[in-house]
Amino acid sequence: MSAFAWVVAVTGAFLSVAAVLAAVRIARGPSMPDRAVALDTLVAVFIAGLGAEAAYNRHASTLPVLVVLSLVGVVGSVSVARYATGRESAAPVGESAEPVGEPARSAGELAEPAGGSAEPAGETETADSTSEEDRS
Amino acid sequence: MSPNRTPRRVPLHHQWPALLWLTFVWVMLWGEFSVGNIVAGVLVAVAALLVFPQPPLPLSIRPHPVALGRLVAVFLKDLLASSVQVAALALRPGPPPPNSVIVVPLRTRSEFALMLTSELLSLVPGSLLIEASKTGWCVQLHIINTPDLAAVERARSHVWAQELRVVEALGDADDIARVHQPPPAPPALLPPARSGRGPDATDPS
Amino acid sequence: MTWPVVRDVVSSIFLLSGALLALVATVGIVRFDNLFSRMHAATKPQVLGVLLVLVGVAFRMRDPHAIGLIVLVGVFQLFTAPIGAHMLGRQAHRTGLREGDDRIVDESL
Repeated sequence: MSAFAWVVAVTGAFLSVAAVLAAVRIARGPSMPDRAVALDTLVAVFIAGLGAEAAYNRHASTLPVLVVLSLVGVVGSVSVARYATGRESAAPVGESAEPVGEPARSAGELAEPAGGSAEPAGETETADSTSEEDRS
Repeated sequence: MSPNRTPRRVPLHHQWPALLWLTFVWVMLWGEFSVGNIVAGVLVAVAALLVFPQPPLPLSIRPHPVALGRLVAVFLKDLLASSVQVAALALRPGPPPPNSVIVVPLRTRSEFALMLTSELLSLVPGSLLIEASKTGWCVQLHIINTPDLAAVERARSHVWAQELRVVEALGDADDIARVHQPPPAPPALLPPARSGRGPDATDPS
Repeated sequence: MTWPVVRDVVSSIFLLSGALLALVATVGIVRFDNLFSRMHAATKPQVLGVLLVLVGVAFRMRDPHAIGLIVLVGVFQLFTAPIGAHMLGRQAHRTGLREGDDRIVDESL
């Protein structure tokens, strides 16, 4: 084994342990953002691993894959942020005494009125429509 | 995008930064610096910008080479320092130190500088962006490892230093004059009128 | 030392330090007791770790085509990592996710 092969082997070992640790956090959670963070990290570890393999074999055939991975790696985080934030498995209502929606709405006031926060707007809309139905 | 708001079109010659960037990506992807390839890249970039019109974004960038070089150099140094810091915290035995969430008002009034400053703040020591407000001109950050209040104040001054570097590198004269003024003392938490609550009224704990 | 050997040595240093940093980042992600600290670990050492590995790869490559792609990967990594962390952090903060986060100053809005 050449010296560089040993280097790549050690690099691979580091990255493998890193991937296992990221997987541990994905399994443990506890919240969806925790998993998304760990998933982003796992993608980054994959990028590093594919890169190390390309360095060892001196080929560029996997490099386009790295470009794609580095671009789409963030999609997981963004979609979790958009759609799946919150506590694990919206458990039986009543068991969690904490009002989850409440801080979301008030924190939204910091945001620019037009941007993001489609969720609170949707909530108020449904609330309005139900009250109108009640009235009629 | 709501249907009743027609997106305004930005004239193509005002989109040269996007054009430059897309051409750069094209050339990098092909890895060939020939005239033909660059021309092809420009054509593809123009086509992409025509097919996918960009939302109007006021970009008043005035690059200052020396300050830009300093911004990049300090950023790389900061990235290294912050990685070492977080790595040390991760490996340190015992429970992790307390953290903080702070709101820091900024002096710049350029949306681009606000955006760049806040994204860079996530990669420099200690801070992680939670919220950037262009109505209140402030950023809300999570600061790791603040054992005492002095550490919190240091984090605040880091934010202002970062803002200064960004604006000096890319801002226009007005904005540079603005960021050279002393930072606003008490954080102006919210754009007024919108909230009657105190800053910690929504603390969910 | 000849030039190829120097390149291999430099490449080795970058590959090893990058992988080590990525490993420490995931140690942080497992060990830190709250979401935001984990996000610190996922942005800073993680991004630098990938960048270092990419520099190591670049030193092994012979044709400029590969260098261009590697530069793109690095640039995209620098762009997307903080933006993803920002979106996630903002939403988590609005939702009030702060278990285990011991704060001495909390200017939550």
